[in-house]
Amino acid sequence: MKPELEGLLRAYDAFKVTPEGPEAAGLRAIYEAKLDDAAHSTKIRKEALHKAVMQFYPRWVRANLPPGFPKKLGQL
Amino acid sequence: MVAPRVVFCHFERVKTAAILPKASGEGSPAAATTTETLVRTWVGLCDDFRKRERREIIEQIPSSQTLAEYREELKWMIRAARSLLNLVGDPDFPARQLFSEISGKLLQLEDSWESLNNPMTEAEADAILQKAFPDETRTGRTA
Repeated sequence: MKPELEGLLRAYDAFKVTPEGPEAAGLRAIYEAKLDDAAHSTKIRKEALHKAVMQFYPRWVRANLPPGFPKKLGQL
Repeated sequence: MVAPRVVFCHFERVKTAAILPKASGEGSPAAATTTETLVRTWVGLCDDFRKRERREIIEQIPSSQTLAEYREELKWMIRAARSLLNLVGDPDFPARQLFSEISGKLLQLEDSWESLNNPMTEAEADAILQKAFPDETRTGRTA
């Protein structure tokens, strides 16, 4: 995976997983800044890029789970 | 039809007393503590909800029933967060630090809602990411 996309997903993940409410806005701002940079360098609209990241995010999370982790509820 | 208005006025007073315990200068510390406890209890419930969201919606492919239940629960969490944000934003609220706690959680919940209603398909997302970051295999696995 390209480091730019990996960085974008990691920044989005940091915002998604923080249990600290006061940190969420700052982490979201970091993600938005990375998204701005990516949109600028790729000439793709920021909104479209964000929707693509959001769509891809659960697949990225699942792909990086430890081996053997159930992918469906109730699956052993 | 006078009675309903009387009842309404009564509840208005009760609501005001609960939200602004110190506004009259005679507020009860117990009332303030109770309100703060209510907000902190919701924060705990929200944390539990978000852990469950991670486990059942993001880390695993949810069933349609799980997804439908999650959608309804998420809507109520967002409604509650917006109401509580109004409460903790009151100048007389005893624990103003909870404002950033609730507003941060609301930001996360609203992002979850946006994600849940994202109209983009997997194929469209893959095409955009392929265009933006070429040579991707789209497996998602970190190298």
